[in-house]
Amino acid sequence: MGFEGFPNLKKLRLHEVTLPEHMGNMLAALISASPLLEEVELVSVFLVGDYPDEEWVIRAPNLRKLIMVAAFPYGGRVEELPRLEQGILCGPNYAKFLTGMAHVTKLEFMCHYMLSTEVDVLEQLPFLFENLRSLVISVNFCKMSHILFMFCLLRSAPVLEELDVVGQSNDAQDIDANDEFLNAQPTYDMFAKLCVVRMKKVACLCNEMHFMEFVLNKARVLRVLSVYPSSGVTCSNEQAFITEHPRVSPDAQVIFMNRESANNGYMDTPSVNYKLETTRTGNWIDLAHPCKINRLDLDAVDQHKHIEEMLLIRQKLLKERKEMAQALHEDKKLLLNYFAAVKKYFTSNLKYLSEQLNISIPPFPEPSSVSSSSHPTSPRLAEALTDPASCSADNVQADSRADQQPKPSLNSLPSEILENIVGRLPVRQAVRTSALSLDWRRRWESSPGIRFGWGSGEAGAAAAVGQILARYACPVRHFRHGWIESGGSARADEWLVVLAGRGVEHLALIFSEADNFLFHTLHAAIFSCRELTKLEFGSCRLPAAPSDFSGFPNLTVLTLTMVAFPPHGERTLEAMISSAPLLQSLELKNVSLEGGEWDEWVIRAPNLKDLIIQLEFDFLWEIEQLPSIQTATISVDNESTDRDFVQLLTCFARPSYTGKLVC
Amino acid sequence: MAAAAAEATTDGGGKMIILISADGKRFEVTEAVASQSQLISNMIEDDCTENGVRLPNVDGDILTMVVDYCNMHAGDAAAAGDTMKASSTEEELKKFDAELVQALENPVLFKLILAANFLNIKSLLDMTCQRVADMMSGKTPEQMRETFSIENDFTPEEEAAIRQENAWAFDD
Repeated sequence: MGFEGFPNLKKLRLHEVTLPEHMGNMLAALISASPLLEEVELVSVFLVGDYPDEEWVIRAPNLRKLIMVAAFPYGGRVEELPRLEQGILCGPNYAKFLTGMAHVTKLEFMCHYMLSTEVDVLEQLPFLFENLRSLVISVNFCKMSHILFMFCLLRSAPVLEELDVVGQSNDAQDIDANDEFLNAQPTYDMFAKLCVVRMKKVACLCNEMHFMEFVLNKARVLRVLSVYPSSGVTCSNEQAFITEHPRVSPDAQVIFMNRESANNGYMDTPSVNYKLETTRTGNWIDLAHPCKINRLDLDAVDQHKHIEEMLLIRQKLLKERKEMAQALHEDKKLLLNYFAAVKKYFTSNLKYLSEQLNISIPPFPEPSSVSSSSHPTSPRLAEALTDPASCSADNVQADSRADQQPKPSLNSLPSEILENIVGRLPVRQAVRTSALSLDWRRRWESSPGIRFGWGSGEAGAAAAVGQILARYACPVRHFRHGWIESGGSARADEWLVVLAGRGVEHLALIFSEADNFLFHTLHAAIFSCRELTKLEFGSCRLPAAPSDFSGFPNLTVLTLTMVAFPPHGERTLEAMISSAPLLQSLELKNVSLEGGEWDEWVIRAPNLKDLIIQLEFDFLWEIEQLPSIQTATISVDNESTDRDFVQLLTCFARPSYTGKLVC
Repeated sequence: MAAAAAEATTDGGGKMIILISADGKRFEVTEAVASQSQLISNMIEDDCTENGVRLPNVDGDILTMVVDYCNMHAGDAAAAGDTMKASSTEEELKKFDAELVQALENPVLFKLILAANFLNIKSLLDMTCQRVADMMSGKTPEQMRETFSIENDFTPEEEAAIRQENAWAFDD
């Protein structure tokens, strides 16, 4: 095809456009061939003969905003959209598009007819929406699939601040989403930052009420929960119940609007409703009230607005302050330029006259005497005028002064880049950035990659670790605590539970030596850290692995120093090693297995390069052939062993082997 | 003319592509060099580079640096097969990278970051962001503000509260 694309196209809007058969491909090609495209809006675009299994891919590296509204489940998918900030998806079969939207900050997802595959897509989402701050979602509280879908999304949005739930319940509830159901949803970390929740078109079904209770019970920083009942629905009992309901967030206010309010998201704008209404067929779209006239309960709206305004007011003030400073700065610059120009004109004219008429001219009066007499000027202006250098009146002077002022600030970079930078810092430095300015206050919390590390000199930090982990909204890849005092053992358990849920890759916990060699037993959450690549423990005790322990498939380095295992712990140790096919380095120093009797156990590690075993007792370990071994140090106390070292040596039968054996 | 250039091929690098900076400067590079930019690589894949690639938000002086960087690093993949060669060029590359990024004044460094981000050249973005992170390391908030011209818009009470909250991070 001779089509070259639109290399400079930034916005593409198609409303009610019909494309002939198999043009999904063409649409995708058009988008891909416009690399600067920042906004795409496809509203009621009718793709003739395009079915859900049709293959076409939207690729748009610079896309900031994507709006798709359709009544039919079309095909196509989307590649990762690395710059996407806002996504609006209304219609069936759009969940698959979410897989390319990892970076969105605002998302609207409206769907009346949820395909079961859509829930699967979200349940298997390989990432979290780490920037998602505002979510608008339509939920049919009568449908299990809808409720599950919403929970999947909420779980995947660790920094969500605003949540709008638009009810569309019009059926008998097919499940009772009571406390039991809701609490069975894995909710770790959910709602950590949620401060505003709006429940719209509420029919006061018991599932809706359960969900509101759930929000009040879980959202620790909630400020406002506002409830907009559907028109025609009265639910005074429910209102009393929910406004009196206890809540975990001390600041939370519950506000009941007695009539429906205006903004229900993109879907509810009259033009879209109208369009959908005109294209609707079958049961995909079922809009009960396509074009509603919204009457507001003014009191409630005022109250609500007031609170929202309070939340925004600080921000506005700050912005104004900044603008004022900038305006002042501009004024000063102009004045300086003006003064300089006047002076130049004046002196050059004088000079010309003096040359022409051959008159000597008395020196120019001291400007300081002028400025201090009657003209009030800002200190800087006065300084500029009295400064002898500036009396050589030249535009250059004013310019250079202007140049010094607005050095480009680091703040001029977009926040995704600033987060990239902060993510490269160790935790202490990253947290320090919170004191730079308001913009930086919470930036570290959303900067992925920060390395968490504390050493022996930072005893005061132990109390802060848990809080830092709780505030940090990204996966924690590196976590090291090099000196955990005996008083901090319980805290270490809390960290482990958190880290297991945050995909920790490098983990090191070294405890200070315990009294009487009573080691702290670690929390079993350690066995859930499946992403581990490096693991180091010192002076502690591991619990027995749970029966469903499936190993650390990515582990490459395992270092255990003064670590105890409970009776039959050899099985745990064996499983840890042999379930890690990539293991390259293994150190077992002063590891002890409790209980007097041990079964034989085998060290099986096909990729092991470095091995250190230093044990006081021979705990009946065997080694399988180690084809990749490069260095090995084996040291076992003489009197406790009667093993066949010749057989042992054969395991190291490899030309490049350079190790030593100490027995 | 551009079309003729686009058709021309060099010995090893394949087709040539013309990059055009915001101020109209033209840079001719091989596809292999240019496709280190994910943005351009996608455009090559979609066959829309024939009339030159306009980069409306990258100045000529910055694009010069980017092209230098890409020319220098284009060998990465090719050299990987030959370990001896790879190790010697690796050292050269490190030196080149360090020199490129260390001498830059903040305004230029920031522009280079924006260009790397826009063109989606991950290694260059990593390197430049790392440079800024290195410049932050070990600095107090005051020193960071000074280095990066960040205006302190906290009230003294707010700032004190933040420092209090995480006192361990602010002790020197």
